[in-house]
Amino acid sequence: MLRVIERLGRETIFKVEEAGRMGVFLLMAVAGIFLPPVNISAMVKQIHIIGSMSLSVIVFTSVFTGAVLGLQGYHTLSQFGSVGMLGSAVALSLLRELGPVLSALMVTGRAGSAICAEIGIMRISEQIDALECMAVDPYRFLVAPKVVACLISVPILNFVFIVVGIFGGWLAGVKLLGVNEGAYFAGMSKSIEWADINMAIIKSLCFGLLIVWICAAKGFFVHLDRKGGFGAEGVSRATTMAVVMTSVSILVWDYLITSVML
Amino acid sequence: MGDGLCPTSACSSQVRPELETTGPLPQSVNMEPQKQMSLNDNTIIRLVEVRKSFAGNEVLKGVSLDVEAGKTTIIVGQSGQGKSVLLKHILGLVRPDSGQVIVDGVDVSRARGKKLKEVRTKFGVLFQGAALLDSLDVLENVALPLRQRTKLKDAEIRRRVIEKLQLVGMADQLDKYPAQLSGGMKKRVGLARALQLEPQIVLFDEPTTGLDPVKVKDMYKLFFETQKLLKYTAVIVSHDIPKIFNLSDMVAVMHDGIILAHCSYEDIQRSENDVVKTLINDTMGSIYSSDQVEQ
Repeated sequence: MLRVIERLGRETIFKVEEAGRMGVFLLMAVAGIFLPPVNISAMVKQIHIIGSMSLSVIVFTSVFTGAVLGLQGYHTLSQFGSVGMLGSAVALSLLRELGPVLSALMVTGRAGSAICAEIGIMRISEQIDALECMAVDPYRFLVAPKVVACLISVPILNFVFIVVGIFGGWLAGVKLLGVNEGAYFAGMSKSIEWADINMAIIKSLCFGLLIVWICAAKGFFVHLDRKGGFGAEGVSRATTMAVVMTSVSILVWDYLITSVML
Repeated sequence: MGDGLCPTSACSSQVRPELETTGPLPQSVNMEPQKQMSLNDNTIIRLVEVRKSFAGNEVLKGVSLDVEAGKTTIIVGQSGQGKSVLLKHILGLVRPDSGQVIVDGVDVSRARGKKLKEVRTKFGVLFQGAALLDSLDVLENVALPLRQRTKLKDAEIRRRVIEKLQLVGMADQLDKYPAQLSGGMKKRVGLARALQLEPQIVLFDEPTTGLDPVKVKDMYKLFFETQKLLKYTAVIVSHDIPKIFNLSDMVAVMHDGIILAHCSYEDIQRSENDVVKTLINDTMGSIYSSDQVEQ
């Protein structure tokens, strides 16, 4: 019994410590954005790595997401004789939920894992220690450009996902299934409101921050992993954990934001 | 002053620092007199009874050590004895469970933020694996301290980088990335980066590990040349026993989380302590003298 209590206590202390560490990490990373010297070129480079290089996977997945929405929507709506609402259904689904969530999940898989692995390798090969020894703030030098890049790239990728997804829905609904093109776009413009666009922006900003926060912190603190955070195995475990935690957090936060904003 | 582990009068041990004599302290240090160690005004780094455990395993069991400014102190011991952990304490990268680490009057075991950053500006560090940033080329790696801590123009930064790289014989490798360099080359670039801002203290963590005998000799030669030129305080952590002893002013032998002996290399060779003897006397055949290295 004592052992169980002891274990519970140890686990609680570890979790509280970890939460504190993560909180301080976020504060330091955000503060690092504003600390001089501001490294614009590093931020641009990260926008290229996190944003531009994710573009192809975003376009590819969004075309098929939109197409499958068009296909499913057509068959459902045709049962009620409301095929004219297909454009609205596709656009609203993408704008409110699928665009922010799926684009964030794609960025997590492609760029989040890379952020975690890069910082994790830097930690285990003493590169972060070297930065600290040179009195270079690793939060400002390493993490802050990634935070800025994610906060800029994820919302843009989200809207790319939505626009291309609508095009995918148009391909399936209008070109393959013969829905009237005018009805597809007219319904869309009538049903979308500014609140929907605001929700998409807020969600993608939150998801962008979650991605860089969790992934960068998991890499940054890889050496504190209780299962042994050293070597390739430690980095691999941290990367897996980062992607899983970020994906779950995105879905949980999606629900919370939706429930507040609807 | 010794505790019997090292027979010569010049040789001290920090196993029981409470037995050591008193002396002047850096301004910010406030210790009980009985815990002070012999110290002269030239001391730049002082460790007092430093203890550190990781997951219940005590790595440092009360380490006390003085490092004099402008001198070379070598900390030797077998692998896994806590030498690198000791270096990380000096740099403030790891905080001790108890004890003090004082660098130039500042207790780095308690310093945070700006104060810690200020102390770190006094250091240059050559890590075991050089710790070059692998996404930057040689030029940018060596330029990093200048870019981050000065407002120099690009042309001046380039000039200074080339100057330091010439010092270590790497000026023709500016556009190479760390992955394209050999172990010895990485260490040379790491040394150029460590010396870039001409620090007061340079810490070397196993500077010759993984190098062949010729490269080891080259590394020592480089160390001699740069120290002669820049006159920094050197702390070298190594298990390369006893090849590096003649490079040193003082040798500290570390074993099982404590400093067994701390004295000149001539004195340490006469030690009658079994562990020190095993570490040093049994392998005395290949000392590099400074003269040999300079040749």
